[in-house]
Amino acid sequence: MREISLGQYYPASSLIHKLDPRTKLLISIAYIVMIFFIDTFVGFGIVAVGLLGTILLSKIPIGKILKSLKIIIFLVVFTVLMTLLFYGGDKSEPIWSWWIITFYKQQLIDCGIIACRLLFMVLGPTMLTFTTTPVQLTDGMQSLLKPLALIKIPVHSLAIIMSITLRFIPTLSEETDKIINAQKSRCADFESGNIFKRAKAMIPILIPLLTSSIRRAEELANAMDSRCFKDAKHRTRMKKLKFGWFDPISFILFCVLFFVILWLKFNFLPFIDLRAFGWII
Amino acid sequence: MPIKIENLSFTYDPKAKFSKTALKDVSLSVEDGDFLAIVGHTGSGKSTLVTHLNGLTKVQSGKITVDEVDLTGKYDAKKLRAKVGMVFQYPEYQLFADTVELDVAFGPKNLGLDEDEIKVRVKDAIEAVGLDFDEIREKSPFELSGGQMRRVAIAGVIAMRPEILVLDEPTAGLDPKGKRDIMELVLSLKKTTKTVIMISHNMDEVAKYCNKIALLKDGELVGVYTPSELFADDTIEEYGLKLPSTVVLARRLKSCGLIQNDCVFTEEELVAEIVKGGERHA
Repeated sequence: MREISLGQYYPASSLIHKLDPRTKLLISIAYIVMIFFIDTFVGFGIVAVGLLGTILLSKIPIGKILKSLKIIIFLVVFTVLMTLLFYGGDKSEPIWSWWIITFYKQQLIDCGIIACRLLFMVLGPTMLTFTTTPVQLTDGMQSLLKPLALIKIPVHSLAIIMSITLRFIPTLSEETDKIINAQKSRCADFESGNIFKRAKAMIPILIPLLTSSIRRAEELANAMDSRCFKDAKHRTRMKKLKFGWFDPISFILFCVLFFVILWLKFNFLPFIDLRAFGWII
Repeated sequence: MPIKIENLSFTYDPKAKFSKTALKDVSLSVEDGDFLAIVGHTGSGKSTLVTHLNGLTKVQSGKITVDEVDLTGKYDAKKLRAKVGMVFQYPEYQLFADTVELDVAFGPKNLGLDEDEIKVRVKDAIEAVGLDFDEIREKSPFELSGGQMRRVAIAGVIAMRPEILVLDEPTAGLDPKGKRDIMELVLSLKKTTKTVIMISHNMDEVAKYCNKIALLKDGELVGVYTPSELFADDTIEEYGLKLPSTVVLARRLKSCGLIQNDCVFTEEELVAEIVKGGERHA
């Protein structure tokens, strides 16, 4: 039996892991909104401090988290290149020029901001998936989406579909391994040949996988029926979601952070004028 | 075609934080003509051990040679897999082709044999598993009964004409008659494949058919025994396995003084013992 890790959950016992998934979901969503209000490096610096605190609290090795950024490196490089090549903003302070290419101060700043924005945008949800199991996530989502039931959206059924799907991913992945091994034992070759040949070589895997998922679905449906499963609405759960003492604290901390970011952006406090510190903006 | 396993160890995801050791320093040899059973509790490493034999699992540490081919070095995977036929648990779930004939032909085709040879082998294999070739060849594997499907799946492996047949719980999920039928089939296949290695939880089968038993516990090889060695006392129960029902019954009869020998592994032997005991009393 092989351990199958779903997503990138990193098991640890920390305050962040113990937070209610709803708290983490709400904060993550608000966090993404917040990122759009940041257009200064000082702002990102402040968020970085907050993130660093969260990472340290979560007991996840920082290297592990930085590794998850790998997937968007290409996107960041591409976006930065595009900004460098097609820049239409403030061209008052040229810094470096060669042939027909000229870089301006504002252009470089913009590039940096865009890169930061993308990286930070990914880091937030990454922390969520690192510290929350997929099952907790669906539970949290279901709980947060409850109001939609008022407009006749079957939230509970959707939730049970989600949790069954999650439940079966490891099973099916194990099954896939078995089928691959069985066909390999019959000398099936999945690695050589052109793309069409390789696609065709997948048939001996896909058909047994399909039949077995249908079989499993049928068995599960029968099992649920025979235990009188009727509606998802009145389902009780073994692990109820509960807010702990750290949930309100993390909400408050996040609100403070959000407030500071908004203040940096809109400078609305009457007693301190940010414009006095030109370097910040 | 002897198999030699020396100091084989295997760990799943050795780099991961939560790696799991599946095999620890296992040394084992299988001679031509052996009918070897691999027994042990769930998670004792039986399946990991057998998937090493045809190169599905790469050797991490230790050494395996199958018919003088060293599996730690470079070797022809196709050749090896044709030699070591592997029947997994519930093999009927691996059928995929439109017709039984095409499914059984999958292995030989992958070996790159010519059409005529494939045809002969498919026919032989289907007949070897006790099915009627002309009746079944055009049928879809999915319209067969469970027992027939399992036979077709075994035929798919037999068609490659392996010299060693490895079976992972071939009788799992069958009724008593189906179990016996499949075991009789394995026994008849052993005439052509010479060596059979079988993972099993069913000690009745193991006692009846196998000449060697490798007992695994938590990835370590406890020992290799003959049935009379292993079932002479209650050792097996310490490893979470049951004694064969013939032995259990024979022991009770012996404790009542009805028979003298409780080392019997088939119904026939038990009956013979009882008859002997009866004659003595008479």
